[in-house]
Amino acid sequence: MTDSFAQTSAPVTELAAASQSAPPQAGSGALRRAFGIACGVLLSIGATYVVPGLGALRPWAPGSGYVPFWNVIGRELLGEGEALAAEAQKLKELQQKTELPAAASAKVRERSARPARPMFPAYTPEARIERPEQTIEFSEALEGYFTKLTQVDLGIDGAIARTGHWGDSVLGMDGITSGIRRRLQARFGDAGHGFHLIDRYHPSYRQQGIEFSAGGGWEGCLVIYECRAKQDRRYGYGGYVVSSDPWSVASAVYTTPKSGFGSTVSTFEVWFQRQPRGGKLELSIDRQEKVVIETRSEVIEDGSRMVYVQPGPHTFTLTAPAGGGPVRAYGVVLENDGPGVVWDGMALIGGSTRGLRTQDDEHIEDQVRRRGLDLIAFQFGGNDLARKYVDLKHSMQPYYDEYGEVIRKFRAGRPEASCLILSVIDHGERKTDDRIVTKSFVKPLVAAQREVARQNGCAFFDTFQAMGGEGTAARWYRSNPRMMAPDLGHPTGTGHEVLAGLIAHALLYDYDQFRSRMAGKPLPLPAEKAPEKPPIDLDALPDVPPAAVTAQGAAGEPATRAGSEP
Amino acid sequence: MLFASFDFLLFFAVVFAGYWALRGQFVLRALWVTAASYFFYMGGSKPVDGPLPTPWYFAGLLLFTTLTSYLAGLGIAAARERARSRGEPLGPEQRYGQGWLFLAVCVSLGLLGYFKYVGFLSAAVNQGAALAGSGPWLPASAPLLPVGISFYTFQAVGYVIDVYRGRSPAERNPLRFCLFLSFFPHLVAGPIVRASDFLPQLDRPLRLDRDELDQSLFRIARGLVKKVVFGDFIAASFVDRVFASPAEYGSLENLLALYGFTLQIYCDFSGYSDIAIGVARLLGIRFPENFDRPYQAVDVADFWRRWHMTLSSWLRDYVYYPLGGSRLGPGRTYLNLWLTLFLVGIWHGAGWTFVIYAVLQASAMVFNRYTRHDGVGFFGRIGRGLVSAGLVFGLSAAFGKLLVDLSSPWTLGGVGAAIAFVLAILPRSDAVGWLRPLHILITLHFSVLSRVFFRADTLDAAREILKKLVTWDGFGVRTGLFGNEALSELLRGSRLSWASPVADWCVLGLLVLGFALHYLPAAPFERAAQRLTRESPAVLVGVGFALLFGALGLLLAGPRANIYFAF
Repeated sequence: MTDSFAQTSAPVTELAAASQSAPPQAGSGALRRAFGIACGVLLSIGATYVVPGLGALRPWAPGSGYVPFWNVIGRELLGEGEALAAEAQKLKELQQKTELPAAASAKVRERSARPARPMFPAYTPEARIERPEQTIEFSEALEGYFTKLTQVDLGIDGAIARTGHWGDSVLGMDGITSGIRRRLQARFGDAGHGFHLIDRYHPSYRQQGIEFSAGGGWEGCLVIYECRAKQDRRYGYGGYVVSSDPWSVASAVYTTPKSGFGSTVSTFEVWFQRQPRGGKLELSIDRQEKVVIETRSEVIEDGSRMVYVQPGPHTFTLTAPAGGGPVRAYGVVLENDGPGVVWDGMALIGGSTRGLRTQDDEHIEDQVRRRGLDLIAFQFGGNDLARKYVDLKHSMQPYYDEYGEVIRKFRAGRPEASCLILSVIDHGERKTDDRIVTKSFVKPLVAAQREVARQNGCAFFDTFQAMGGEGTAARWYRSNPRMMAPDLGHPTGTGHEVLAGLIAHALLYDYDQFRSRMAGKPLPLPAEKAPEKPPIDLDALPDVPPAAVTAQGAAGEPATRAGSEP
Repeated sequence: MLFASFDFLLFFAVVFAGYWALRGQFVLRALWVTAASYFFYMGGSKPVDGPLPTPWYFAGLLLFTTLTSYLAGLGIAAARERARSRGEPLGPEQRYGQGWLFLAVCVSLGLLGYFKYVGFLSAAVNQGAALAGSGPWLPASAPLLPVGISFYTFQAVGYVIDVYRGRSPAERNPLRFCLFLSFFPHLVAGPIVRASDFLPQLDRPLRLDRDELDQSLFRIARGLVKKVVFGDFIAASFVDRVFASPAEYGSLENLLALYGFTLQIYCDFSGYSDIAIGVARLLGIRFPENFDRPYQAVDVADFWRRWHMTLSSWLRDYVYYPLGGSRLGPGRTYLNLWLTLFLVGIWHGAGWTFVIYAVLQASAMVFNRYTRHDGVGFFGRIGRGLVSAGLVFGLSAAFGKLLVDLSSPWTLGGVGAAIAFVLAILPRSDAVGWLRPLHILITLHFSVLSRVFFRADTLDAAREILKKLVTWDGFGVRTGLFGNEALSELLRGSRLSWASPVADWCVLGLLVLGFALHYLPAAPFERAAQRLTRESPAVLVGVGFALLFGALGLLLAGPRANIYFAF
């Protein structure tokens, strides 16, 4: 039997033999030729300094930062090593400071009865929040949201603080938004995951904690592509509307985690569009109960259908069967009865405020109202950086106008909701001399976003400055683990966590301040039944097996009734 | 120091000139090149990407290992001398100086173990403690990994074992030994050179003829092209982007990144080896080959005979054979093979991803041997096929459930079992020649897929990539993913603006070209290139080299460390 592994050495022994049998022969021209080659290299290098067109090929240019034999000269003699070590230490501290402990879980809050004379009580937090290096500017604009957070904090029955956070690819993977969600839910309580689209339109669209799979059969349209500009301009709350192919089955399956954040669901809501030729949507819960949702209507209008289930983890399957009419849908909402926090993440990959403007006014107004938001947050700008050379070359006025228009459109649905603008994050670029620097338009854009916030009564968080300001992309890219992706414009998972930590910290700090100064003042309470919630349609009970019907909802209502908007 | 850097060009020009100027004076020349080697080790370039080189004072470890091994060699030789003076036999079976051997191996492997594995092991123990509901049992530790420690440690240990076995004489000249261990062309990333190959070459007359010069230069140029164009450029433009956040890319993009990495790592390491071999030849030293077109391998055993050959042969000689090789029966042979290949895998790094990589490679090696069918008839093959399929089904399903976190791992198990069954009953490629491409294809894809664990930064990232591959999302490839912005801008701003669309697809083109070149016969290309080098005037060859270094600046933001520096 031959030994397969033993054959490995053949080339080594052969070469050893070769080296013994063929020693280098004498040749007087070899060194002369080597000298000629060295001259060729030197001449070429010299040419790059003499011929202007070859400047890009220079191995070294003044001010380029190149230090030969860096590990000895640059690192030790010029002290760059110490500077890099200090930078790494600072980033490590930043990560530690913004880290959510692995064992963190959603706060379980006992519900309390509505007080007869509601007042802000004296505030005695478990631990005071340290003032962050970067606080929220114009934070008085967040008082509405903080009031709702107070209601949640006091455990008032039915209090849920909802945020809709729209942004570009910086919100991809639900990285920043899930980080904020977990931090606030760990502090105030978990009222559920929140909003989720019907289909994934991009690999970067993901909602952390929800296991999602789409069975195909959906055709989608993202608001930034303006693909419904000539139709109804209705793209939904999440900016992405899907239509089912009437001739094939389309499906989407949502499974909540067995434990941890977002695991308790007591209401599942489907958001769709009624239309004259609309088909039926079937919703099954835990692959058993089935609710049929009719989307046919004489006029085009938005609808939603809420199903109450026993609080806990569930699997929801939405199916648009073949053979019916097309179903057009916007998304689903997974929540429980609270009290707690919900933070919806709406990542519009490639998006900008310019793209958001194309939503139909009444439609987006209705969507925001329907969601009952307490805070409307925007985080755009990454895709506006190239406009430095186009329409924002001379003036930022077009940007103020378009951003302001978006804010007004969205807030029209919930005028009482607070508004928060988060600035663009740092974006780096490599210069020809290898340095990574902040793109020159980042700072003007941040300033413009601050101005937009000021003009529109929104709070403002300077994310760029909070993450470290000028040169952050380079530092984050160099860090270990890397916090910025190689494209220097998108944070990695670690970077997302740090950003989420910075934003959540700033919010919690301002909440602390708000509570301290509001002690003894009247506290508005949420309505007994949230007006934006559809009334329960008792006649529209689904085909539900009795086992599921027996449970009682947290609010004392039968748990498995389907509600639909009249 | 990085070979593909301007630093190295400066360094080598001086070293080469000094080396040949001192060609008649061995001691001065050896001192010169040893000092240069230590400077090479300490004066690393600042890479544009990835971790920084370890600080210069880590050269102390190299010096310490050198001293220990040198003294151990002398100690063993003295023990043998004493035995000789006592009239004891000195055949290959007689061993003397166990204490010295133990000391040298413990010191060398102890240092390697501490710097390379202690961080991982302490983290693993603490993870176990956390699972048991306890606090950390060991203090957290993450020592810096000194560049090249895996390579020079193996060389030092191999030398001491050879002296102990009586296969090599102990080197009495400390300068020669120091030069052997620190010789800069092999110092930081191999090839792993044996003392018995290296030291005798120091005794030969030092000469360099024109053919040797041209062949060496060709080898260096080939290595530079492999390293810079097919290795670093593909990595910087495409592979690194995907692996930085695999979840943000689609299934096809992740798969293509895996192909990209498969090509990148080969070109990176074999390119480095080419440069090392070429540079050493310019100094009159021959190194063993390290690669032999590994992606043409027909099975896993063949792959490891072609990939990092000096490591495979080292482990064969110093681990597999001492364990008994294939002499102790089939069961022991399987165990020995598994252990050896596991060590090959784990040598590459410390972390759960590398443990899985090592287990996969070792298990594939065992599977490969089990299904070789030496003297096994048709029904025997079917039987082995069924056994293999059953085992692979269970392992794949467990892998899918536990590692990839699939809700339904049975499909993966079924696919794994089917492939295992086909492989098990398939005649060997040397028996049925037309099946060779199929064997190559399967071996290549095993290599590609196992690279997930080699490349992924964390186990979570590896899981994410595998999930992408198993639950195919059909997103396709986004625009611009295969382009290079800097190159595109450069072309647009030049007279070659018409060629800028090429820059938008250049990475994909290079990927296809790289694999095509790997499978095409090399000899005609190499002959033509060597003739061109030989017949070109020296100055023109110099200009060509300068252009190669210019490409480094144009295609990349700066020099990038070799992947194997991290091992």
